[in-house]
Amino acid sequence: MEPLGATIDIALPKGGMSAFYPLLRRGIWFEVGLGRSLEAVLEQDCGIDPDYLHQRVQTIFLNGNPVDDLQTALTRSGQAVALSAAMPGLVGATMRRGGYFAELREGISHRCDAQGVCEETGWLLLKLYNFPATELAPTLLAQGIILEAAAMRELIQSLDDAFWGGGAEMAVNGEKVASREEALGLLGGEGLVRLRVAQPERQGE
Amino acid sequence: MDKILRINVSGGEPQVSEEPLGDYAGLGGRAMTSTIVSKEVEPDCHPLGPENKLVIAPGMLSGSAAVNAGRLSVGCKSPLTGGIKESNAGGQGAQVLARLGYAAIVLEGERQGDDLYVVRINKDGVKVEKDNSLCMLANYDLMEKFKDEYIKNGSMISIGTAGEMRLANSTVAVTDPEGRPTRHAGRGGVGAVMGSKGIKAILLDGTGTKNRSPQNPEAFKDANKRFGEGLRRHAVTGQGLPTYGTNVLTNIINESGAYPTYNFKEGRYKDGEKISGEAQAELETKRGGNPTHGCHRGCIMRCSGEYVDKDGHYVSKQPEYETVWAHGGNCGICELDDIARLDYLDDNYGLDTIEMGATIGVAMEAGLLEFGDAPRAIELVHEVGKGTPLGRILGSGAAVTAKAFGIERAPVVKGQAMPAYDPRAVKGIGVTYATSPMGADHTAGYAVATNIMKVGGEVDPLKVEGQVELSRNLQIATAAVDSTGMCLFIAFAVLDQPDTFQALIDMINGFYGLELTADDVTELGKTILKAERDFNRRAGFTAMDDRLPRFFKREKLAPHDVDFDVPDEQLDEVFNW
Repeated sequence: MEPLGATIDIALPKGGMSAFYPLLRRGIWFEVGLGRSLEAVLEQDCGIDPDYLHQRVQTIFLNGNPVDDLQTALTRSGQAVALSAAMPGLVGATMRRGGYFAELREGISHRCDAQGVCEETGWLLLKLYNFPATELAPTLLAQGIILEAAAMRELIQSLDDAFWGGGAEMAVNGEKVASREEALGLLGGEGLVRLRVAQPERQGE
Repeated sequence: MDKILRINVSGGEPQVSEEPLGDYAGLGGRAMTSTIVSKEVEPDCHPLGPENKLVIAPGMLSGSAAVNAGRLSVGCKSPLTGGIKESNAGGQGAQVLARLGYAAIVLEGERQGDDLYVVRINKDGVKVEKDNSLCMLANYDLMEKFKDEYIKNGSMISIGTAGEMRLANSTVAVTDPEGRPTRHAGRGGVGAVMGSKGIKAILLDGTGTKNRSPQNPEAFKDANKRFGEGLRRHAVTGQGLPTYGTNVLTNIINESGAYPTYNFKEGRYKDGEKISGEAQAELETKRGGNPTHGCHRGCIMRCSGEYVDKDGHYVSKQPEYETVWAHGGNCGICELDDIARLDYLDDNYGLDTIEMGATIGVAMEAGLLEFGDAPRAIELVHEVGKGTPLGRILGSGAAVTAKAFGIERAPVVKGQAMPAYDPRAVKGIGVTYATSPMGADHTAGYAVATNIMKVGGEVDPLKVEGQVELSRNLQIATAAVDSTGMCLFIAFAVLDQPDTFQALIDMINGFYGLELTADDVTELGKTILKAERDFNRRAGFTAMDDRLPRFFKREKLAPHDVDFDVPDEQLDEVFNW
């Protein structure tokens, strides 16, 4: 992976957290230990509460393949994991982890990777859809997330006047910025960046 | 709900008659429509001919206090598939029709001339009146004309211009609680059969009627309460659907590589996130729309919504997952505003969004327009609604359009376009697409709790059922649920919560004073499917009609590089029970 570029800090006065959900759906990066189970990586490296993972997260994809077993090992750097709550529809039910209808999608189900682990650590792209995005966002954003600079640029471009004139504050590499143009100028165009979002009075989302 | 209303359009003015239920007693919804069609319609008839009939039937629990029991079934011989058809819709229609006491309306006979008629039904009786001012009015025009008659206590069941032109892609529209014609019996061209009888609109006025009374009020009330609680506490019915609507599936199906893109060429759409349910709900909320709305009174799940423009003005109902897929990813269109506009036009002209989107996808592949060309797609739907020569071809569905433009890749079974799940990635649903008597239909074998119902007998919970067995059992169970008037989305709570399934059985028993068991429900599903399969056999269908188009076997689907490889011999086993 490329070295980490800019660090962006945002302080939100109240509300507005939903503007960041698309970033989580697009995917955020975690440095993780390889050769361990998906369960261990999600709980220990990504910080997802075990109860939440087992109860709320009913649908998991590894590189687009539905996963039935949380003991599935992560073996390579650069793999993508997507998390979702239980979904409607026959096919939504079919995609569920270990669900009754899993056989209906046996052709794309994740199967154990026969390749061995070559490295001790690597990078995992974690995508959070629907409820996992909204429910895990406050904690993850407060801790700081790593994402593509291009995704951050798109987010900044999408922030409207209500953000810039509504009491939110943004700093890029510790330098306060007051407009979209300033922020984009300091951000840089490629690689990875770190984003932290603080919202001391978070409520009413 | 103890009578059947027949409107015979033969010989001058349509004649109205009412009759007791007779052999049809105890039936509702799909059981009613498919039984009447299979008994009374000559299978070899032309779907638009005098021998065909259009049957409109509320479900067994419609018009009662039962939650989520507002589905209205519409059945006939399908102009699109040539086989039997049951298509159902939400909206207010089922509740009002059932409270008025009708278990079915049957439109039958041979239309004389080109006159159009409007049917008015209230507690005092039925009137059928000629009204040629309705000629080529679209559904929202009809709403403006008639809303004062039905908006408070009733509903309108109508056809748009597509049905009036008897296009094979045409719907029967049912109004929602706001009186808008947003809910549709969409599949199979049922609107064309209504048009062939010259009936433009049916206005239901429920003023002075009451909820249907259960035989055992206490048992029914208790079961209904438990059932409602079950729906509320389940993550899908109580949270996911109300928050995001059905379009929450876009990101998930796209992630899985089962999202048909560019007319089923690829399994993942690069701009799927832009049209996802999450993005849609966030946009609606930001603009002052409403992402949580019930399509009929008494709905707990409220998976619908109101889509508004940037100024907060109503554009359409919140487009469903299937619509967003058909007009969106399948056509490479990634602007929600464009998709909502297409959804409105489909509702207005009376077009099935799945069939229309799939047809435009075929037209894109044929070079009539580029993938992603939303303005031209909108123009084409106008052409269909106005009945230009090109529009009439497109309005005849994806299969006809592919023939007209000389291309092989029509994603259809029995002439009906596939919905939003690629059968190469989810082969089990491909089995249902292939074998359902209805043509390619994602709701023909829904996620109903076959495990709890023990459809197919006692299955070892540790043994995985095969795709054929699952498809068979799902089709049986779905046929039964389609007869109750229940929204299929109850399936998720019923699937995971045995007590909620029991509450559903108890509710039916409490209402009718019966002692049905899960076995009886299974038997009902089998009886319906047998009747439907028998109708299709007599209409000339063979095992060769229970197949997917060949290209699904030949072309591998990215990103998982899969094809549809379920052997034909296994498909032929689906209905061997």
